[in-house]
Amino acid sequence: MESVFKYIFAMIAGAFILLFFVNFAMKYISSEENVEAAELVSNFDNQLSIVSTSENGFKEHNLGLERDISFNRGRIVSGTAKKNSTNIVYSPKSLQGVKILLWTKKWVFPYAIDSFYYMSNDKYKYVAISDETSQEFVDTLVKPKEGEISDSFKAVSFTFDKFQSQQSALSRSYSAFKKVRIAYFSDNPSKDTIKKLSSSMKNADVIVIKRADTNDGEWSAGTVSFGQEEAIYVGLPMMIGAIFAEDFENYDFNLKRALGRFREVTGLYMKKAEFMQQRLPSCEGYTGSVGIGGLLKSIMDLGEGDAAKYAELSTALEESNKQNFGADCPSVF
Amino acid sequence: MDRKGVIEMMETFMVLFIIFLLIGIGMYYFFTSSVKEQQTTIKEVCMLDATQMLASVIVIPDIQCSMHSRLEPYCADTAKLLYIKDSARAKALGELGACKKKIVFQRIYPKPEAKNNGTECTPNEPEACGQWTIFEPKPADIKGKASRTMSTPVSLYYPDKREFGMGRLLITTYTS
Repeated sequence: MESVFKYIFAMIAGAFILLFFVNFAMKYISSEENVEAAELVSNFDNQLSIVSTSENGFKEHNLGLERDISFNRGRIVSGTAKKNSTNIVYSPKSLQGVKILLWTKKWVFPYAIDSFYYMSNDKYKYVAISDETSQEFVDTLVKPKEGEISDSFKAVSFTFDKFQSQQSALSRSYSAFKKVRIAYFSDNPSKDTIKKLSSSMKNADVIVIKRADTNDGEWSAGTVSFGQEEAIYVGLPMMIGAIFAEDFENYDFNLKRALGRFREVTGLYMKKAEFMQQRLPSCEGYTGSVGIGGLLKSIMDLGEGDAAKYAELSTALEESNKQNFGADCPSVF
Repeated sequence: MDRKGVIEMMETFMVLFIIFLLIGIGMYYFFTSSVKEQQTTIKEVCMLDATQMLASVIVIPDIQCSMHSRLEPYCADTAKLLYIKDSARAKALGELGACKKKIVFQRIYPKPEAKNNGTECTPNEPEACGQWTIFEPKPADIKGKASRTMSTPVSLYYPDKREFGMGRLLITTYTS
């Protein structure tokens, strides 16, 4: 009888020890996963800075295993790890998978300001729709091998008429995507077209991109609408950012951050212009209301409201930088 | 309880005590080696950050040279370097990654006078000086930490003199 109790006692003690080790192993695995998530999140900015060494760089970032990474208003979250990034990232709110497509483009307006980062994966589809006012531009934006948008995202373009004629086939072939972002480019966007695009497929999400009324007639500045909400875009990289942004809140967050960076770099050039004027007093055009310093101050004082004004001042700055300065009086940027 | 039973009970508790003692010692060494491993990983990540930064700092628009809107590779504009210190961008650079970093551009050629080697270049004194510090951590943040410096040669552009020179970018990392 005594030995029976001994065995029972040994079994209970053994079970406790076994449970302890199993629990320990589980906790260890979970903590290792958390460490990996923390490493992924904390190294995220470094991964971006590697890509930013190129003006137009692309990287397929392999996460090693299936992960869910969330990007929302500058905050990166993976598992229990969180981090605020200082970079300007246009991306869907949640990216699930093993691979992330990461692309960067330098924002130059008219001087280099910062690098914009675009992220997505194969669960998202990007479609550009043009009408007669935008067809030429959309063809240059989404063009295999030569387009402004990296080929890796497999973006496609259609005229609205062509899209309508192929709608049912497209709807079927795009049904597996988590979201189909449709960017409708037009000088005169029609409500009827927007409605038809929105109802074209169940996973469609439409944004409307409209060019600003500028002298050069380029698409370098304008407005972008996410449903009822509208914001400006300044430069092609920012317009492309609108295509990749999850929603208005995220786009607007990046717009404010980008304009903050713009003012920071402009302030630096203003200081450089003053320094150059002091060091090279015989050169004209660095400071004063008619000099490049005056233009820099004007563009720095612009708010978020007028895309056309940004485009005009940017052109004026570029011309002033080219025409007023040469070998003896070096350009400001 | 008879004497034999007491002895057997004590034996059992002794065995259990020794088992838990062994588990405890094992766990102590396991966690100690884990912490050491983590510290080594942080050091490695930190060095990797610094290596990556040697390539990425020079392409930041607040530092990179540009002429008539054309960006020049591996070139730092010394007029910009005079004003970038203490900016939000400089702070973001210094605090990027796993550890604090000091970022400095140093003049190599034309060689500064020996007395000016360590002198900081400022808008008021842009010539008789030898270096531009972009970011320097607070002394309290790096107290007692080991430092390691990495460098790369860069081209320095002096727009006020319309000249180019040679310099180097130094990144000092601080780890526990």
